[in-house]
Amino acid sequence: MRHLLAAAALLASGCGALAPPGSPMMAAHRMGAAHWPENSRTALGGALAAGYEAIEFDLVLTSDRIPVISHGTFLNPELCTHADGTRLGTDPVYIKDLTLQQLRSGYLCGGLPDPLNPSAQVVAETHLTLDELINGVATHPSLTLHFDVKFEPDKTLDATAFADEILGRWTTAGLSNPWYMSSNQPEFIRIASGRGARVSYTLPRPSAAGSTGGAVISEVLAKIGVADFIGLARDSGAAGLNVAYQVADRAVVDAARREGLAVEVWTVDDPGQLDFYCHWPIDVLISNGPEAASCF
Amino acid sequence: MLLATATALALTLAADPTAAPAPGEWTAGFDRVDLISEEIGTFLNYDLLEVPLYPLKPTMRFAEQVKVSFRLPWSGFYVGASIASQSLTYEFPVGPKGLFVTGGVVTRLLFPRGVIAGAAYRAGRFRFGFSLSAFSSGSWSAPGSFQWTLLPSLGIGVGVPWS
Repeated sequence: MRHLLAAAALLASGCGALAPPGSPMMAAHRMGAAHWPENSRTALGGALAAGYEAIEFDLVLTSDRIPVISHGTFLNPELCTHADGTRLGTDPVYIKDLTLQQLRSGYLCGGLPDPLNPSAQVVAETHLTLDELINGVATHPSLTLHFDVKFEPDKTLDATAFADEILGRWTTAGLSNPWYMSSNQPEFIRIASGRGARVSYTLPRPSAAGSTGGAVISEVLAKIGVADFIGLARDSGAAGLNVAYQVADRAVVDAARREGLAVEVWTVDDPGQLDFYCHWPIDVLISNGPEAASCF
Repeated sequence: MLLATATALALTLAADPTAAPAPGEWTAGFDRVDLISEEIGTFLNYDLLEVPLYPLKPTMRFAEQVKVSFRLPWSGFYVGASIASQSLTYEFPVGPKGLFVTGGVVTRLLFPRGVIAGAAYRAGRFRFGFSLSAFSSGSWSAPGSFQWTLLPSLGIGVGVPWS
């Protein structure tokens, strides 16, 4: 009888239909891009007022090594304009080529309707810095912070500069908020992990996950084991795995967690899909509008 | 659409009169296409649930697990291959006609990653399999990864008539 119970328990542990529901922490993607201009000062204020459990924001360095909150390594012409309101040209304006002063005096973002989040507020603002964000969250010590580091070779300053400036500022601030980082660059993951940061590996790259062709290729490479997500995360020294829902595989998620990796699924906005992933045994579920999730 | 294509492929292959063995005779060759494969078993356990929410992913997962199986020259032995896995299995007849106990090893790009064991029932062109699938997270790119998953699995195959 004991053996039968043990066999049943073993079976149930591997069976999706019998697995207990998860209770992931809900994180606001780009600080709540469904409601406010992504990664903006307005979004930070809105996210704090909304009482979110966690916020995710993106970090890029200016030429004078100031971390600013921006998803792109260059200014998104769909969201940003010149300071006088005129549209940006076709040549990318890289943040690494601008000082903070040049960035702030020359450009505004959020003043154009976000095509990906059409119901979000439209508010033209200068870029938020990491220092400002740290000051803003200082009175919300339970808020979990997810630093998504946008280091990219040739498009940004180097990985060491990112680690120096972001970790230096955060450590100096001495806040008690729970925090972790993410990156899709093993070089940064190794450097930041070596300095004690908990860094998750983002797979696949957002550009791949966001297109049908890219998602199919990523899926097949992962399925046949050529691009093994767990192996890639472990080899880079990452503490977690951030996987796009387009390629998220429940068996891989289960295995990753048993391997000791924290697992985050991004970026889910459809209410039905949110409810689906609320029942996965994952650590974090990321959404532009987290309150739409049943596990919020 | 994909299911129809896979079924058509299975029936086309099964319709080849040279593929069907004479009654009681074992010959190497095409055996069947498993539209639902017992190996791994994640499609029915996990992926099917997502069809109404994000059809692209379960469609890919379905295509990845459709398996073509061939009889080897040795009686009862089969090799099968899908995008997701490749296997060597053995079927041993037991009890009533058409019933078999089955077992085999499962690989990913020929990297050994798991085993299946269960029963199968063959009737005409159809084969139904019921197995337990145990597979690891290992692959050639992560050969040291041995997180194991155990799943019940179901197989549905269409092929040459069994006799």
